[in-house]
Amino acid sequence: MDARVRELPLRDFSRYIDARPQDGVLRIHLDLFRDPELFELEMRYIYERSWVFVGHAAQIPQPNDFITGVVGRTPIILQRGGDGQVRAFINHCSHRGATVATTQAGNARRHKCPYHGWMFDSTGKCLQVTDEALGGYTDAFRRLSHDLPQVARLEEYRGFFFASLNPDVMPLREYLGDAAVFMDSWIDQSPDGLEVVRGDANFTYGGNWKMVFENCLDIYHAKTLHASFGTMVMNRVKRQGADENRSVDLNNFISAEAEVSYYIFPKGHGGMWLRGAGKREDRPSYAMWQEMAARVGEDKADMMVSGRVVAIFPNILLVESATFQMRLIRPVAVDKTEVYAFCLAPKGEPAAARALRIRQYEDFFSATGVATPDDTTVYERVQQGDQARSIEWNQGYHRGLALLRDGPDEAARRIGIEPLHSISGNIGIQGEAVYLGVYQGWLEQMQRGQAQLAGVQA
Amino acid sequence: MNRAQLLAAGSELLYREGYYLDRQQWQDWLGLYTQDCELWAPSWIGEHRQITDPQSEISLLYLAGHGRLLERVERIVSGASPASVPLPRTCHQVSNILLLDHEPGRMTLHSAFRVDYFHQKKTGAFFGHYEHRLVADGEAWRIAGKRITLMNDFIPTVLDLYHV
Ligand code: FES
Ligand SMILES: [Fe+2]
Repeated sequence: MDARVRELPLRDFSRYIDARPQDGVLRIHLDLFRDPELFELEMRYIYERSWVFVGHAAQIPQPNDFITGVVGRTPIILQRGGDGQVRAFINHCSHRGATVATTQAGNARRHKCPYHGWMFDSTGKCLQVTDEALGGYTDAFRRLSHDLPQVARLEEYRGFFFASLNPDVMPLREYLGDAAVFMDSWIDQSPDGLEVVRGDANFTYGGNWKMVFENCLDIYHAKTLHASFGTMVMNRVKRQGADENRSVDLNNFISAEAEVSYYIFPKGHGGMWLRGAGKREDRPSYAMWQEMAARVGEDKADMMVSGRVVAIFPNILLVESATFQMRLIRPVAVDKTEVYAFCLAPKGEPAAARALRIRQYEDFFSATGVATPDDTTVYERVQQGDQARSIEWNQGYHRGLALLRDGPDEAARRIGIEPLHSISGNIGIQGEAVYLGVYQGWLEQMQRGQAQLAGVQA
Repeated sequence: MNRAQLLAAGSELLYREGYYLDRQQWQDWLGLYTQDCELWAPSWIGEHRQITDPQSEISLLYLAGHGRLLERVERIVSGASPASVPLPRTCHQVSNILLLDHEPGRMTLHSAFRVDYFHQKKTGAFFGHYEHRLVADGEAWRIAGKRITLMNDFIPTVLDLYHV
């Protein structure tokens, strides 16, 4: 039994997820959003056991480039060594524990610990124990590796790096499953893949990490919460014509003619694909449609210029609604979350399309724009509302539940994916029942983590 | 106008901008800007480096033309954006004003700013530097460009025009 687990009582996690779709019921216990002890367990059993997204290859293109991050609560350095290979090691000096890198990003052949000067190279190897010869060290000490410990597992899916502190975690490709096909729909927009457009606009909010995870699969809120964005776009077109700094019209985006599919993948991943909505020529990627269609076929190219979302449990969201943003979620406390935002774009995109992408991104998705601040504001209101301890459940997971069916729908077959479940139909369903998969993934990982760390059968 | 007169006129405009924003006199604030104005808050790409090209890099704010300012104001006052309901109470402080450059009818001013705000029982502050490009319009001066170097750019939930 792991010593850390003994301190906390074992929990029956199944009591938090009331998923009985056959009876028309899907409820998630509010303690998932407000119980600090449950947050602690999520860190141990999900974030520190499973795969966590830590960065994109385009952030560290050159030898010795690095970024810092965390896996759960463990600070890490993701660095491309002088040999070109990317490694993840723990940002914790072997001597007395200081972090050896402090900036969010940088380029360094060596990391010198500021405290007593131990030195490490860009692969994490210890080069020097300061004044070792004079130190009166024991043989036992000399036998120790002083290197920065490698994170147990690091794997890449086409430029996306995931790390795990659990040496026995399943292979990444198996973990991603067909959610990877959604990732492909952005990666394959250009034969050269994706790049990260420079410029950070990261943010925090006073709410649980699952709120932003849920929100990215939530179309239901677009019409109400983002009404002011819709009005702004409408007025802009009226005053300046459709070509001037055009943004994807949300009212059009959620118009009645649109068709939508939601997909539940294993491991807690969810997908959403919106077809026949919005003017696709308003999307920057449409500038490359001809080339894409010739290379990947019309069905896949159509997907590449449509609204779609994939939420990879637990901490990476690829969201193309009014514009495209990738988000890395970093939970800080039960009621505090950091979000690192990325503008990913196809390499080789024409300059005019790129400028349009950037304007649309700043407009809608930036924390200084006109949509995201409304989202983060309501997460905080939900966090406040959820403090009502006499209330254990809410009703927010039922839209589309009656349409839930096993396996792929017609659209899924077209692009060759096999989700566990599909929910599809007219846009109006706004199928929040997709959270069934998210919370089944949550439950499985919590149960497995507890079983493995506490030696208890789930 | 000599340097001292320019500095006095320019400073007056900078103080007035803060005055209008703090009093939520949006139309008066909009009136300070030229039709082809540019309000730009570049983002950071390192500890001490910022982006240089808003057409190929992400800005915190890049609003080119008076229409962009107007539509942001319309949203703020519409009541339809929960992020701005209620609006925070703000206090703009502008100081360290330097006349960097001038020619007839134009001047460029550097300044330091701090905007304290109070919102939903929480107090916070944004701070950094401004660079204002002013142009003469008859007797008055107007803002043709405002560049905001925001130092604390890890955005706590909301950052809008009234915070900077
Ligand atoms: S803590 Fe790093 S050298 Fe002492
Ligand atoms: Fe939203």
